[in-house]
Amino acid sequence: MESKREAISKAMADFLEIPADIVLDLPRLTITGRNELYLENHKGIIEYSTVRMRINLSRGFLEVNGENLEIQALMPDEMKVVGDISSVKYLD
Amino acid sequence: MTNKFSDQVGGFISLRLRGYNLERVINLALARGIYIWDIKRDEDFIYLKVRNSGYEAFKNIVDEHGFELEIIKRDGLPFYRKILRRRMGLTAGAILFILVLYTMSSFVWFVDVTGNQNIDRTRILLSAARNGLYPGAAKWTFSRIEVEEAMLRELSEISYVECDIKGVRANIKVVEKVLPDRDTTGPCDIIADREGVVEEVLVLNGQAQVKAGDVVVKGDVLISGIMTPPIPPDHITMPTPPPAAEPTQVRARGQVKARTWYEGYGESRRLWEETASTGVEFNRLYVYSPWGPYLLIGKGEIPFASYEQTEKYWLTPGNRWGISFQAFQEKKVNTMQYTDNEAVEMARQKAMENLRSVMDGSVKMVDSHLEVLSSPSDPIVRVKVFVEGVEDIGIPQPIGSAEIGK
Repeated sequence: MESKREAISKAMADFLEIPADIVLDLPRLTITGRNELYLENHKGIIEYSTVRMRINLSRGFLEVNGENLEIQALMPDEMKVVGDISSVKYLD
Repeated sequence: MTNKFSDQVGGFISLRLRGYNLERVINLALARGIYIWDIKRDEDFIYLKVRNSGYEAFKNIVDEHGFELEIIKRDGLPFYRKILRRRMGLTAGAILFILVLYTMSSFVWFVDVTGNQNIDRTRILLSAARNGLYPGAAKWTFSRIEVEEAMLRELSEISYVECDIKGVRANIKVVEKVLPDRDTTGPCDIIADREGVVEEVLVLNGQAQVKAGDVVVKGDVLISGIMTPPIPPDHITMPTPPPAAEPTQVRARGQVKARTWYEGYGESRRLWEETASTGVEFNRLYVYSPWGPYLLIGKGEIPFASYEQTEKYWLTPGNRWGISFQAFQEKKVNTMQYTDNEAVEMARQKAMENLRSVMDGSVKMVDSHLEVLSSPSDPIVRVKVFVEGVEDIGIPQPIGSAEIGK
């Protein structure tokens, strides 16, 4: 369920053609091949193991499954995950 | 994202963590702005790297939440410092090397000149040296633009100068002024520059005064710049012809090709003596000290009867210390006897060379013959070469100046 505030922000972003990830603080994912995942606008790590990783987002969280998962870099807004990624799932 | 260079400069520490809910440590470090990277999970452990500057803050978090922390490795420049301190000689040598390289490269060691055709190279170099640009000049003692401006003022024959300094090499590029031809612009005649027999006359403007086959001497008018308008045929039949139009003056133009003659003289010896190097060398090396020179290498007499000596010096300022290298090259005199034909041919070549320096490049050689002046018994062969050529002998001369000259 979107709140009223979010709906207005989204409408404004659409109208002014501003990227949604800036206005709504939405995550931005870049996956290169199967081995590299670059994520902007994350909100911390919920769970981390070599086969499963859950990353907190502004709404819900992101589940990354795979093998030999490793966090190559971690900064307040962005992170880079490397390893053999098999699936990326959005969960509420 | 990760800056390997800044990590190396600041130094970083590889850590191993153990405890329950390790994600919590990561999130806390994240919230406090501690940059961590290369996070790897291995069973109950987490391996990660943290910068030297963030280590204390990270350790506080770990201690607060009761995790076990173990330092695996320290890396980066601050940790190499210890190693460097142990090897002082190496460190000092490296620093000295960089300092010497930096100092040496802030001087100009070579000065080249390009683009000059008529101006002497030494004049340009002297002018540059007067304004501060010379081999051995420190780069900070002169300004490139000031040198260029001063050189332009000093050398009036150049229109552009650029001092391009690349490393220790300075290249002075000059462009010389091209002065306009002193061409005659007003009305003029075309006169003969030398004597000859006219072969062909081509008039572009003016009135021809000579025709093919005429013999002309230097100064004869070939094409006149004074044009007398022709009298129309109907005027001749008139009982009272109207007065003839005034002659007009023009700049005569045209080509007058004439057959001209040149003669050149050359001589050659029948017996030639030539000194040539045999390739055998004898060397001496002296060391100069305040107590006199000391012969280090090459003791004993010079083993050649005839030799050429070259010497190179390297002296310290004040000429107190230094080394000198002397090389003696053996010379041998070779005598050569030439046959009559060979000697004549050599003399002829010399005569032709002399001729070429006198003859203009535009002269087309038509015929040549040779005359031997010396008798067969003379030790020197003397020859004279006569060359017949065809060339444009006309040169412009302002109308009236010849009369004034006479």
